[in-house]
Amino acid sequence: MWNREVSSRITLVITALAILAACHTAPGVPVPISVVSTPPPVVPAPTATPLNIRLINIIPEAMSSETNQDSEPNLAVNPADVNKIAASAFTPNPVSATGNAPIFVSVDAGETWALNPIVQSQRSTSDITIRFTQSTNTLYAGILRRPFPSPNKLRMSIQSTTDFTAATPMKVLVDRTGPDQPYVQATDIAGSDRVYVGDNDLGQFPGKTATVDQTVNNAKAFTIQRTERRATSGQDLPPVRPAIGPNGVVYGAYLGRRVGGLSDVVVVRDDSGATGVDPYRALIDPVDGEAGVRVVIGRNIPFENFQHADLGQERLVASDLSLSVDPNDSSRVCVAWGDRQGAEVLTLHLRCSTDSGQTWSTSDLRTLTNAKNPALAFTSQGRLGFLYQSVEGPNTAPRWVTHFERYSRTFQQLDDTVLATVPANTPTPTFLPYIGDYVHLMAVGRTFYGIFSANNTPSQANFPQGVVYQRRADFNSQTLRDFNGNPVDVSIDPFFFWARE
Amino acid sequence: MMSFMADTVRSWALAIACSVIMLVPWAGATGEERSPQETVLKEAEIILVGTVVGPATLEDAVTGGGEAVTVRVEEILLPESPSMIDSFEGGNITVQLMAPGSLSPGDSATFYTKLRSMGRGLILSELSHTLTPAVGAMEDRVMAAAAATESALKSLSNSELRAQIQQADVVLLGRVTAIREMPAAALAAEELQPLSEHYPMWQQAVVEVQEGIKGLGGTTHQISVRFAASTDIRWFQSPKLTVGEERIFMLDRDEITEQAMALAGGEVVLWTIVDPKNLLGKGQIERVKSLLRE
Repeated sequence: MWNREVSSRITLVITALAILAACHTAPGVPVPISVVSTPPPVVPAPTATPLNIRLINIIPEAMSSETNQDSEPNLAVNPADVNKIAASAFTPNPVSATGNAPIFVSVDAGETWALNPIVQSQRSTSDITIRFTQSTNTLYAGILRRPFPSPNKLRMSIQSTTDFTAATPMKVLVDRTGPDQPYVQATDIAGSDRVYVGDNDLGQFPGKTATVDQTVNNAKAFTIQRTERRATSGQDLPPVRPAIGPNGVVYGAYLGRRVGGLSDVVVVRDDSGATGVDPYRALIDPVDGEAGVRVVIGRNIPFENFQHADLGQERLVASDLSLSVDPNDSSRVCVAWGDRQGAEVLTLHLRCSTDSGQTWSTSDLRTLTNAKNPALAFTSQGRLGFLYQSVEGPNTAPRWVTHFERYSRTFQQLDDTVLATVPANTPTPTFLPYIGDYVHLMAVGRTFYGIFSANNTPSQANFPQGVVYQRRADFNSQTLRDFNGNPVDVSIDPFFFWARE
Repeated sequence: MMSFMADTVRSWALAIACSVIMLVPWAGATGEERSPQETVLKEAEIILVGTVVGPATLEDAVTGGGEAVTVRVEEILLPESPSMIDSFEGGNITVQLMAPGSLSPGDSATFYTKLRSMGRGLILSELSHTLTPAVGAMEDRVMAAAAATESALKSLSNSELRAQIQQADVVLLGRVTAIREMPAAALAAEELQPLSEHYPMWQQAVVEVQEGIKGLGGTTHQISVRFAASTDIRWFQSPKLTVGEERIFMLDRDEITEQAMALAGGEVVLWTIVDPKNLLGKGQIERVKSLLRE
């Protein structure tokens, strides 16, 4: 009896050890991620429900003959009605040099799209991001508006519409010179809109340029809040990314450029919707005691405004920065950025905080070489999505590969899904950015929504999860067609996707 | 019979021409003086000759606007080919009418429109239309309407170019002989500018004057022109000058040029060209001279 009991206990222990050993080596078991220098082979964790993904080329059928470089896309899904989605890119007005710039609109959850020229900017914008509020159906846009007042000045405009499918041009709320790269986030509290537009206000040069133009009173008035508190080399770098959490918590991330040219990744926070007189001071850096916690310091973030042969014909203008906060737990926040490590052209880093941004993981949760355009989003379940684009393959046949990675609540990587793998050396750029200085990912409920730009060759092999085109395309001959069946040259198109469990 | 047809076609062609001409009272009308008719012609993004097929239903993603009709496109007159909408010729599009009931199935007209939407199909918002008399072969009717509209557009274009020439301080035919870095003083000043992906990356073109058309003394044989070399989204359509090209330059001594000259420390007269409209092909020289004489 005793022997049997001992024997059974020993068997139990041995079995447990065997399971632990197996777990240690078996593929597919999630383990906490440490520094990873290259994308590892990732097998979906047993606990991760497989993703259902739909990918759609948003160029409408009526634009089948277009060959524009529709780069730097952005996306706004209406949380109050996810059938209503707006998308933008560097898509010009297709028929007029002086007409309004267009956005793409969908009222069927992204299945079909139409171009609607309602953005008040001549022909196209020079930067555009868009966002719906939480429940008031208002679409906001932060743009660089054309024409510009003079060659060395930028012109930022914040515009809005309550009917994005109507012909009425968007209402201009702000129009001022100085800021670059406006990045809009929006919500509403009790039906009153709050809009936060991160921008790099070069009108402050030389000085502290990281800025948020914001309204907390239903767009009645916008105020200008400077988020940079430290000395700069004359300016900060272009991206300033707000992120809106629950209960009025607002974060911001920016790249503080210091004397000597190196930069810090800085995160600021405000716990009352930035409604106070001196907002964004909730996070104090433990080392210098200044507002804004420095996630990392002294990074080489390249600003190289020319085409890189070793980065799929794209440029590097220090714009790779993304920030996201858990919609149900404002203490969980993640940031991703790009910098230069050694000889690599650009390396992406992902780090997260579980104490409201006060402390951050000291090493990367994810490190990716030769990659750019990071975009983060949390679902209502606390899952983190990480969208990025990397150049992969041999130098003779490089490919832009668009990845979507999913992480658990404990930041364990669940999977790595390739959405697109397309030639990176064709077509020839007509301008820069080639595919975009940034992309966008967001979530509504349990669904991720994202957008990226890529070579539009109609080949199923280029889109491993499948793809739907509205523009006329012959996948057998891998040829785009116009309305009359004539072949159309390959170009860069925006691709919308959703991914849900 | 043939004579009767020819006379009929001639008479309605004349009618179309007159109605289009009514759109362009070009007796020096520019800027604020523009008539409502000229405004329509200038604001029109798409001008086409088409025939109303019947009522149309808008796509779900297009809201608002008045009555819509399906129109078979006979010919697109503006934008000039090649354009993204060329392939709609011969096909059907949707036009949202300015005035409900103003057109009936079978009516042919020249439509002056703006782009409303491109989704499953092309949807236009009408600014105005000119009815085409329902006489003769469609091909002839289209040809007559096209000729009249093209004439009006050409007149408008000449009117705009004339205003541009009048505004320019200097007009010349020149040949680019060299591309240089900006003068040292200007470069140093640029270094003090903030870093932005949207800045112009100025370069300097040396232009040999082949013929001064306006504003240049006979002793000026060479000028310097600043242009934006940046291929950023903001600048890629701004003129990029290259060695050997011969163009007509229309240059303003405006604020931008004055700033550039100040930055250059007064070393050179540094003109600036950023708008493609200020650079014309050599083949336009007689047109430019003619407009200057008017």
